[in-house]
Amino acid sequence: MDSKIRIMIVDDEMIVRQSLLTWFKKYGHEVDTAASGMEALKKLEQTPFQVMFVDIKMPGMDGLELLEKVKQDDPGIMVVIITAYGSIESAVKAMRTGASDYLLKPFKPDQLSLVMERILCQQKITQEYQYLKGHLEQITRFDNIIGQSSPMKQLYAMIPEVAQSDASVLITGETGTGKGLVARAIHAKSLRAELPFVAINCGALPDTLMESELFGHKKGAFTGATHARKGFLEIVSGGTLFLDEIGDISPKMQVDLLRVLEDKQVFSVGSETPVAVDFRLVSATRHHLEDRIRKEAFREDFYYRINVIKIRLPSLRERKDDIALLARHFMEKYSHETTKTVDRITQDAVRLLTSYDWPGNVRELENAVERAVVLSKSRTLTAGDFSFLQPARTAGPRAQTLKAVQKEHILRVLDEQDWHITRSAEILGINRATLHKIIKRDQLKKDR
Amino acid sequence: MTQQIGVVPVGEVPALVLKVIAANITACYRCPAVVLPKRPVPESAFDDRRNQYDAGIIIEQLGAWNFPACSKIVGVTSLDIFIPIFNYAYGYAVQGGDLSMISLFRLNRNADGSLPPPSLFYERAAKVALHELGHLFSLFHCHEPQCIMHFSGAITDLDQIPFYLCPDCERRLTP
Repeated sequence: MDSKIRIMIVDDEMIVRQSLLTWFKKYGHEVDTAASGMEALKKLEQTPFQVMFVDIKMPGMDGLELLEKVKQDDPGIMVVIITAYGSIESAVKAMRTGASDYLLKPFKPDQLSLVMERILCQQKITQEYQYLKGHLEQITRFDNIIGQSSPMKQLYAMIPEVAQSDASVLITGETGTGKGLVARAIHAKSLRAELPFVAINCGALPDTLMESELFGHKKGAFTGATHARKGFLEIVSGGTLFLDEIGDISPKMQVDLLRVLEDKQVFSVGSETPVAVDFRLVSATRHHLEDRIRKEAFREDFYYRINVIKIRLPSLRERKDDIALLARHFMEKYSHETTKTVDRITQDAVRLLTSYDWPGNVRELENAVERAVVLSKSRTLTAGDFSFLQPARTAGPRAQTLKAVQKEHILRVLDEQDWHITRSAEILGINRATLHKIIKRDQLKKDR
Repeated sequence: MTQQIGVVPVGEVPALVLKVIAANITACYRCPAVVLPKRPVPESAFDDRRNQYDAGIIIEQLGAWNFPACSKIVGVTSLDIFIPIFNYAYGYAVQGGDLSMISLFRLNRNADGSLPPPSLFYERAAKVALHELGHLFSLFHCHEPQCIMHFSGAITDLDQIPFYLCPDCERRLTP
């Protein structure tokens, strides 16, 4: 047999204990018996059992009391209640207390066989669930957020605390610092972990589309709305809503969302009937929202609503100690993905990576390592594999022409703004058309 | 010492079914089986509340009788036997022991209450004996439906299993 388990039979009648013991031994299970509830509890202290067959009617501690005590100590143990007294009431009570099944004695051998099949199946499902849950925790826990530096340790300590509260969280940090990963980690550690995590990049959606995505719409609400559609605020139902780049949403959308946060209900586009919603809001931005409030580009009341708990993510420049660790992590990741054996990185390469100031933060580092792994011709990454970083990006004064400096500056701003043309043009103080012309003329390209 | 299996009628049992059982044991386990003289049903085995015979008590009595020429015994009765806690039993054996017991009582009826042809009745008797003997040879219940050690809770299940061991149980069989 491939599924041997440890079974304890608790019955004051020796003949019953003996019959069941003989029966289960025929399946190769490990079986022990106890003549009373007290004896069973003593044995449980010594040895773990997976399944217990417990008679209800026993002198002293009865089966129901034993079931309660056993379940208190170990909720995972499966208890099958045996009763000769045929009372459905006691069986129902046992099931409510946590019994897995019950048998009215005497029973047919195939009834016991069926109960065992069910238990083994349930146990298999539980084991698979535990494995998958552990696996899920492993991949969502902090494993995706790499770093042993002091700011990261503070972050690791903060995430579980923040996760337990239901307050709105605002994650700030430069682009590429891992705001999305932290949002996911908060969700994974929260009480809403098994409910949906819905992420929306506010910067990537025009206002009208954003409205429809968040609030949903009725059929015919606007041209092209051929079907009614639920919005993410409704779909998230009990989970976590992650609004990335919340600093980019329009003042109208800020008002609409503020209303939702206050009233906990939404009106889909074209509808006059409110729908109750329940979600935990986690937002992220790379902007200094306080500056935007001063410039009246962001509502103060909305800011305080989304900013109950603030988490600031350090830039990679502030945690240079983590660069070597991150580089090795990404090297392993892309070595695995590309099925190329690249498993070493030289000290020179690490020194080069550490001296670079990483305006695009971890995302930029990841892209750089990916590129190096893909192009590497040996199993070792050297400083030469990262030479593409030096001419364009290394900080510090160099003898450069004005045109080269201009090109470098524009490229840096574009990267910082994730190649968002309107935002980049705004920062550079030129219009979008001019920026497009420069990109075309200087053949500027987005760094992968 | 050559192992010999004794087939012992307990009470009145048709002679032919005993021969069929012995022949199948010899074929399946490759050791000789002999039909031994009839023994009486122990009176103490009868449970008047259940109107059935306690298989454990019959087994105890089989142990008290001496069968020096046999290493393992299969008792066969036409009476309805039970194991406490269960409603009925087709057979009973202690895992890894020397004594087993089978009952023909429920083998002579199909699930719908009709009578089976004699050949099917003999087949069933032989299967139960082979299964219980498997436990005496320390074989466990087997998940493989095409194995004599697959558990049969009902007569229809018994009709589905074959007369032989699956390759895994065959390997586990200790001579």
